[in-house]
Amino acid sequence: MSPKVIAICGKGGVGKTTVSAMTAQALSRRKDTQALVVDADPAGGLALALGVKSPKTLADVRDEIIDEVKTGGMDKKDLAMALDYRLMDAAGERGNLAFLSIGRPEESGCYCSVNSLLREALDAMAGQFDVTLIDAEAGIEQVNRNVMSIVDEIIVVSDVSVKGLKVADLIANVASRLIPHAKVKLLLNRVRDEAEIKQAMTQTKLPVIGCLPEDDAIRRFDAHALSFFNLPDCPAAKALLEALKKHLFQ
Amino acid sequence: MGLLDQPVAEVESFLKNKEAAEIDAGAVAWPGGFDMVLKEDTALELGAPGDGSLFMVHWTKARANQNHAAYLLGPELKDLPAGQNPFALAATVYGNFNDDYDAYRMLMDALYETKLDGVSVRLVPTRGGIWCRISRRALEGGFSFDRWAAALIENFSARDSVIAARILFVTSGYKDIAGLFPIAKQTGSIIGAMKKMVEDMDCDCASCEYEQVCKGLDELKIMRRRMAKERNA
Repeated sequence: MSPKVIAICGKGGVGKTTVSAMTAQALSRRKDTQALVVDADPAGGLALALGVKSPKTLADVRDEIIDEVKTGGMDKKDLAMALDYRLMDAAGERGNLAFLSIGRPEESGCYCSVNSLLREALDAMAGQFDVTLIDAEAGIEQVNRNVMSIVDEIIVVSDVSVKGLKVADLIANVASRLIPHAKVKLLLNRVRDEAEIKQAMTQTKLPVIGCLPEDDAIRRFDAHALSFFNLPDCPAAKALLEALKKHLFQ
Repeated sequence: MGLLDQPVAEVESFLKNKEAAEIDAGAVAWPGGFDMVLKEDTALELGAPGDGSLFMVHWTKARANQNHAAYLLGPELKDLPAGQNPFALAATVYGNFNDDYDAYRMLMDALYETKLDGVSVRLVPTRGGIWCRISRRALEGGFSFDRWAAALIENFSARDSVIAARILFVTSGYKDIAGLFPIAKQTGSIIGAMKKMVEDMDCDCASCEYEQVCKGLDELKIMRRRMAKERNA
């Protein structure tokens, strides 16, 4: 398998982080695959959903790198080496998966510098793993800021709401301009029946790779903050695995 | 005298005093390749953050009949206790170098580009930190210090003006690695002063943190005079 970088995007509240957590679980079962899982949402929901913690966040790495630069005399290659070292130190690990969290910068407000470091980090790390999975911030900010420039596949998660599907289309439009090489696919979440799927398909032209049903197991895991690594083979997990096998893990 | 002759002499003296064992510098170089090793695949971790860790690279003028050499102070990889171990790597490269800054960049590039199959090597150049993970696959496949040295020597030697390289690995414990810290500190100051000089010719020497380093080393004074002359030419 050549290194593949997959970003999970979507409107806030559509189940993007849950899909990312379930995808991470699927990757953890592929023992021959080394995967990097990146929680790129400053809210840090993926770490909670998986029950993992990175020793340091990218915001911490940024501060350490600034300190390194202050010592002076670093050229681009020195910086790249120092970043590689810091990222290895920051990554949490569980079996064949490594985790990085974007975290929140100390100062309030702008996330530009951390997003910029995220782009550098993805450039430095993604080629070293078979698969890199990114749980992106809700909305289009990270796509718009070209943070995802090395992404091969964007999975836009949406529920069947018109609002969710409109954001999905917006993400696809921005991605087609800024990351033209990336394939954008839609994953419908919390679908109740065929009628909802048909209705949703009238709202978007994005190719649909799967439909995850409403699932009590997911609700229970969310409600009790249980680790998605322990999610049983529930209907939603099975539907996702089928979509991943068909469209991403060939 | 060369810019780093003093630390080079001190590394030589360290080698002699500690009686490091000579290993085969002519071994088959360990192949390059994929170098991300996760914890679950790691057999040995060397120089991890919090453990003793040091790397340094020196360069100096080659002597007559200079040959490649490699030394090991402490147990070979296969004999190290599983898990984390303190670690140091010191490379001295001999050649005919016209410009010290160019030599430094060239040799650092060679070090950065030495990727070893099944081995993660991460470096922090400003602190001289080295952190390696050796996979079970690499260890079981015969990865050893002589094959590591051979890979480094091969990469250094591929550069113009390099005649020979001498590699020292230290696995004998924190105390021996700490014995190299003063040499690394001296080397770091000299290289830091050189880099600052190259990158900031307008720096006021009286207020520069490297003032004492430059005062104590004729090579740095000569370098600065030459650079000033070139700039004004």
